[in-house]
Amino acid sequence: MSGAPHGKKPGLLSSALSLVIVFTLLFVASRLAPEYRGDLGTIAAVGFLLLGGALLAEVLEPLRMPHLTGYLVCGILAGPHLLHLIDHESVQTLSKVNSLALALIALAGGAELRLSILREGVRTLTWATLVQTVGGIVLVGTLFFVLKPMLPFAKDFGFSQMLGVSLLWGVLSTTRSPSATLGILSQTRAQGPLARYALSFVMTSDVVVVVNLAAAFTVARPLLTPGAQFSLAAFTELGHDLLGSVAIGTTVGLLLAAYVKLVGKQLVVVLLALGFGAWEVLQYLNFDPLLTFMVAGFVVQNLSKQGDKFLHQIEWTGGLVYVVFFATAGAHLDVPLLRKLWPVTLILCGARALISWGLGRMASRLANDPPNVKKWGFAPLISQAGLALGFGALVEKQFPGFGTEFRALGIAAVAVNEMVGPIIFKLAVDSSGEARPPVPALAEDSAHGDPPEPPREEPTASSS
Amino acid sequence: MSSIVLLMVLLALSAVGSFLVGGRGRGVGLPSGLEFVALGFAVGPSALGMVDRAMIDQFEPILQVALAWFTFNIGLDIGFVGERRAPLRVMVLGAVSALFTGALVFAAVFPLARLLHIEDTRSCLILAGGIGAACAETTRHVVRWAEARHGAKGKLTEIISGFGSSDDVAPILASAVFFAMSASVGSAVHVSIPIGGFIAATAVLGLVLGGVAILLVRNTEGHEVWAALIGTLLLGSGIAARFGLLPTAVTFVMGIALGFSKHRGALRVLVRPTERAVVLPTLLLAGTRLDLRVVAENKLLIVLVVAAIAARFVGKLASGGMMRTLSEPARRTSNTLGLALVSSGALSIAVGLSFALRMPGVIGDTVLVAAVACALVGEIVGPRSLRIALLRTGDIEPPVVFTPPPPQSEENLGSDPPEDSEDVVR
Repeated sequence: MSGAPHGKKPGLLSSALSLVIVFTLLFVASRLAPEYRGDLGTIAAVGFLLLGGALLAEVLEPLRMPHLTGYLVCGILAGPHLLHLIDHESVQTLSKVNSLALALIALAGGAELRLSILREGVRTLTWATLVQTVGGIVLVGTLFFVLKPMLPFAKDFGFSQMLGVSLLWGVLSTTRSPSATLGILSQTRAQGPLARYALSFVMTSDVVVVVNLAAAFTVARPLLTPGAQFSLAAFTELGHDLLGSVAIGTTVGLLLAAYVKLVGKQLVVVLLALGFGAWEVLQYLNFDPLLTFMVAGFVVQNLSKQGDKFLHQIEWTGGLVYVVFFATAGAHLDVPLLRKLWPVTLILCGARALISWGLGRMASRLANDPPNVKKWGFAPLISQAGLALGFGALVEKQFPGFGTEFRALGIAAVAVNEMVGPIIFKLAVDSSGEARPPVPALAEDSAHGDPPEPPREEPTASSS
Repeated sequence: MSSIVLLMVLLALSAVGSFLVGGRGRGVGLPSGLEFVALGFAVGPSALGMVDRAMIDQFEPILQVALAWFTFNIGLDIGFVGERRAPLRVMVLGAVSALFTGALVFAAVFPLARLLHIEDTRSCLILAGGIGAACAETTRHVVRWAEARHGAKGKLTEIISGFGSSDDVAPILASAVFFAMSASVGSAVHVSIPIGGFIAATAVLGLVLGGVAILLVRNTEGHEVWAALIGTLLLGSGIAARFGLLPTAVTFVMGIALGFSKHRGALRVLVRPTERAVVLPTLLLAGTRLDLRVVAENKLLIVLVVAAIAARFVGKLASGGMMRTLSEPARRTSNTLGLALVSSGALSIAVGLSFALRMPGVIGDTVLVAAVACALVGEIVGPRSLRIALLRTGDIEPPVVFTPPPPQSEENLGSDPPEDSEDVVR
């Protein structure tokens, strides 16, 4: 609904009008028949989020806001905490789309990581990962430690307990959002050093964070739970999971490459099967689906010649899924909780952004990065999403004493970063001059059941 | 079988559907798609029990969306033969014929329905109306099948094709009326709305969302066309369900509205490959929902279904008569041209399924059984009759059979071979 052909201004007025109609329709329906609890209520919610999210994104575009923000705001407005056009039950049901969205994000992320680029940027990536991870955990953790008086759940904590919980918060602060990064890159079709850095860092950081999480739990448990002993057993399990995920990912990647080469059609069906079916199976087997699909995407891109075609199909399918995914995330946002915890949340989020910026500058100096990365390298690191929320849920489960409040604070922080992060990254991409114009609109000769072939004249975001 | 496995089967079927429509398998399968219904019935709770009712119910939202998408496609295509609009008189003939057939079926079924003593007169009306709607159409696919299988091409093929693509209006709109009748007493809407209000709401909702979709697809790129189409479709279906309206009627009207936009051709190309990919799993799931026990336990229901089929035959024979009166190519066929129109298929079953989903029990199950029974009988009679009719008009080339020359006796040895060794079978 955005992106007029060849720079022509899209119909902003018609988008705004459509948005009003769509909101009004659901508003009237939800007020006239508020007690309807059928499955089609959820279907209406999907339709609304898809339309409303895309339309709001377009209406906000003149303000240079990222599409993601439009999707999120639409979800927040329509969600159970504000207008209540979509109820809690529907939001929960819609969460099932997360696995599909994350599978596509991981596949796309892996497929965007070309070996040549990784080789070129290995110095940048190494320094950034090292500095952002160690520096982030230490500095944000220290700040959290200092903010003890503002944290209701930590008032009675001793030194060691505070150390443990600060470590957990420090690790949580190093989680990023591959989905937000890919969403912005997909919208802006950015190509250049910043786009390449953002993509490779955020995708790699996912693996690093998974290892850090296991380490943090291992160290924090004896500090937080009286009588608990330090044990490295968690690492053994983690090693199995990671190696298994890489192995399965490689196999899936090879099969996907063979499918794209030999069949080439209806990849959407395969992606749906992977997103809904394989994701469940991998989770059941205790493997990391995100890593598995990332490896699969990486294999298709780097061990076959089907990478571009594959990537194009994923982007095409993902375009729809991401709208619902982010709009649902918006509807999930606990607005009352954010209202309650806003002072400490703002301090923590502001400090995290500032620390990411400072550490980014330091890492860039050490790696001698290009100017765009030096200046804007921190921008893709602000967004947080699913991984941080998952980590919060894990803390709640492992440490029932304070976990619930820790998780609530985590959710509030993710809410802020989820809203602010994409805006900052979009600003960075626009300012760095790496954004590219949109593709042409619907035309008689370009409409196909399968997505059209990728344009050949220019390399994709990360291929130059 | 778990729901995930069932989902995978459905996805695989979608792929098969796309393959079939993609060209390599064109002409394969029955025009009605009954083989998928039979497969669903075989694995469903009424036969082998590989899929239980609770699992099928999990797929109800998907099924509703599939039905909505299917009728949206029909709406987009209504009155079109390929990329051209059918002549107005053919369109009117199609719509009137379906309405007439549906009314005949209704008239035959309603008195019998009253003998069933189900609830009240309104329920009897809904049952008879549902069966009438389900038994009204002539499937578009029978002509496509004849084109693909026998290379049918000509005036009569075009007329029947236009007829088949225009007569879908009647069953969908009739269903909308009977759903409105049901909604006026049983929907979740707080305010009191008369039946006419529900019918008007169906049309208005479809038109408004169709208008929104037209606005949206104008300046869109790639996946955003899909977002606009799927978004409006899902929203329309959901809101319709909330009000107790018929979601498929809303999306049908949406499709008609979009059919008038200048992007129809591009949209048609875009959504065409999805049609069979959606229809086949839908037919499969319809088969799993088919519950013959309801009919088997009540002999009167069997009579009712038989009466519906008989009335349908009468209606279609009369429609064939009308066609012969109005069209010169049709006059070259016999009085039984109407038998070529008795094939029903996906739309009939979709109508039956809509009733089965909304009104489970005697009404819904009987409408679905009647729809499947009509499709089954139509499958036996329709394609064969159509082939004969098209052979008569020359739309189908008569098959050419090679007849080997008779063994030469000593007397004919050395004589000239017969002039034409091919014999045309007529």
